[in-house]
Amino acid sequence: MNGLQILKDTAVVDLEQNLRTKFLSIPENTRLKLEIKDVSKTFNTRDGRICALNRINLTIKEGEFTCVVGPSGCGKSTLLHLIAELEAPDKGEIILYSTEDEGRLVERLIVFQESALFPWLTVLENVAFGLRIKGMRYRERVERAMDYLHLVRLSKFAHCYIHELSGGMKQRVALARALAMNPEVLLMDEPFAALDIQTRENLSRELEEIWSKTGKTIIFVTHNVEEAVTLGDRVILFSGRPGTVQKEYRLNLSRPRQRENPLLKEMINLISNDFKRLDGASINEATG
Amino acid sequence: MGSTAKKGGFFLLLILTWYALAHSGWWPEYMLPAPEAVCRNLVNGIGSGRYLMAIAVSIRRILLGYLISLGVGIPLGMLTGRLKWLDETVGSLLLGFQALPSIAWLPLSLLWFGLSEKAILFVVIMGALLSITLATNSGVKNVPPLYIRAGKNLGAKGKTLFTQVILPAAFPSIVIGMKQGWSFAWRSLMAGELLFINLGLGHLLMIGRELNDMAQVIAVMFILIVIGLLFDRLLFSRLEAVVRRRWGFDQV
Ligand SMILES: Nc1ncnc2c1ncn2[C@@H]1O[C@H](COP(=O)(O)OP(=O)(O)OP(=O)(O)O)[C@@H](O)[C@H]1O
Ligand SMILES: [Mg+2]
Repeated sequence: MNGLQILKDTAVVDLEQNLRTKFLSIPENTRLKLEIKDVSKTFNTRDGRICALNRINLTIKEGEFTCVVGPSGCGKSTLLHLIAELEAPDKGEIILYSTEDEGRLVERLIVFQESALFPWLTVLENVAFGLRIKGMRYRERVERAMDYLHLVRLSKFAHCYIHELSGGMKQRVALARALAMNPEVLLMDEPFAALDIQTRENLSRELEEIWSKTGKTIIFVTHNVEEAVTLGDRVILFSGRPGTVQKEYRLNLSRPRQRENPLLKEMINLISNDFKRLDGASINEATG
Repeated sequence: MGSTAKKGGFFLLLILTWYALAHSGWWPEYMLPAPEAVCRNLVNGIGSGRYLMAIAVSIRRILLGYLISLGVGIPLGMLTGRLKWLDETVGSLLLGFQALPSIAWLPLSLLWFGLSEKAILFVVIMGALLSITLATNSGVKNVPPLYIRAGKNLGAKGKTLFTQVILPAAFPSIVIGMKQGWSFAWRSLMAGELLFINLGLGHLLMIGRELNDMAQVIAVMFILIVIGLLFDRLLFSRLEAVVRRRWGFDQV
C-alpha cells in the first residue's frame, strides 16, 4: 500500500498522485501493543448522562507514534484515562500486550494536560517519585532520575521547586518523570498546549528525538493538526461528542520531519479541512 | 536597614512618650506606671524566680495541651477527611463545636475535673484541637484530584498514596490549622488562668490587679508578648517558610 491510507470506511480522500507516491510504505511486521475494542464511556453528571466516548476501536502497534486530534470535549482525555486504568470503560475492553522487560516499572503512564508535578518535591524528587514508590534504592533512583533530566536538558534545575520553572520546563520534567518509569505505553494529553509556538516546536522536536532513541509506543493527544502531522506515524481524527473515530491517516514521512516539507503541508491542509468540516457539523448540530 | 531604623525609632518614641506621660502626674501610678517601674518589676520578678515559675507553669500547660491536640487533631482530621461516613458524623459534630468559644468549656471542665491541672488542660485542648482537626480535614479533602491521579499513575496506592501524595499536598492547610490552633490554645489558657486556675502567667496578671500593682500587670503582659513572638519565630515562621519555598509565594 502507499504511504497515505485511509484505513476507515469514511470518505475517500482524493489526493494528488504525486503526494500519494512520495510516501513510504508501512512496515507490517511490528507487534501489536494495544487493542481498544468497542470502548464506550458515559459520565453521570448533575445535568444528566454525558456520553464521552462511543464504541472506539483502535489497534496500536509497538513503537508506533499515534496522534489523536479532535474537537474539545470529544473524550480525548477520557480515552487516555481509560487506557491508563484511572477509570474503567462502561463497555468494551482495552488490552495491553506487555513484554517481559526488567527495566520496566509500569505499563502505562500519562503526561497530563495540566502540570501534575508535585509542588512539595524538587524537580529531581518529582522525577524519582515513581521509582521511589516502586522501591528503587536511593542511589540508583537519583542516578536514573538525573539521566532523564539530562535527556530533557534540565539537569541544572534538579534542585529547584516546581513553581520556579517555566511552563515548558514543567512539561519537560513531567516527560522525564514519565520516561524514567520506562512505561510500555506513554500517553500524552496535549502536553504542549499551554506553550508558545517556539517552545512548542522545540519540545516536539525533542520529543521526536527521544522517541526515536527509546522506541516507545506513544499516544499523543493534541488540538493542533500541524503538531500531530509533524510527530505522528498515524493521526486519528475524532468526531465531536460523543467521541468516535472519524478518520485515520497514516503518515510515512521520513524523520526527522521538516516543517517546510510540501508533503507535510499538504497533509496538514487535508486533515485541517476534515477537522473543520467536522467542527462545523458539530456546531450545526448544537444550534440546530 | 532603613526598616529596622524606622522600627527602632518608632519604639523609642513610644517609650519616651510613655515616660513623659507617666511623669506628668496626670494619672496616679496605679493607672500608669513609669517604664522604669515596669522594668524594675520585671527584673525583680524574674530575679526572685516568681515570674520564671509562672512562665514555666504556663508553658508546660500549653505545650502539653497543644501536643495532645496535634496528636489527636491531625489523625482525626485525616480520618474525617478520607472517610465520608466519619466526616458526616464526627466531622459535623466538630464543626458545630467550633462555634463555641473554647473558654465556654471551663465551667464544664471544672465540674468534671475540679480545680486541677486537668481542667485547664481540657480547656486548652478544646481551644486547639478543633482548628487543627478541621484544617487537616479540609486540607485532605481539597487535594487536587490531579495529584491523586498522577500519584496513582506512578504506582502509589492505598497507604502509600496517602502518605506520599495526599498528606504532603495537604501540608499548607495543616500549617494554617496548627498556627490557628496555637493561638486559640494560648488564648484559652490565659482566659482559664485569669478566671480560676492557680499559678501561671494569667494568675500573675490577676494578682497584679488585686494588689493594684499596675507595674506587675504590664510586666506580665510584656512576658506574654515575648512568649507569643518567640513561638511564632521558632516554629510557625519556619513552617510557613517551608511552604513558601516549595509552593511559591501565593500560598499561606
Ligand atoms: N469525571 C468526569 N465527570 C463527568 N463528566 C466528565 C468527566 N470527565 C470528562 N467528562 C465529560 O466528558 C466529555 C469529554 O471530556 P474530555 O476531558 O475527555 O474531553 P477532551 O477531548 O479531552 O477535551 P479537551 O480537548 O478540551 O481537553 C466532556 O463533555 C466532559 O464534560
Ligand atoms: Mg482533554
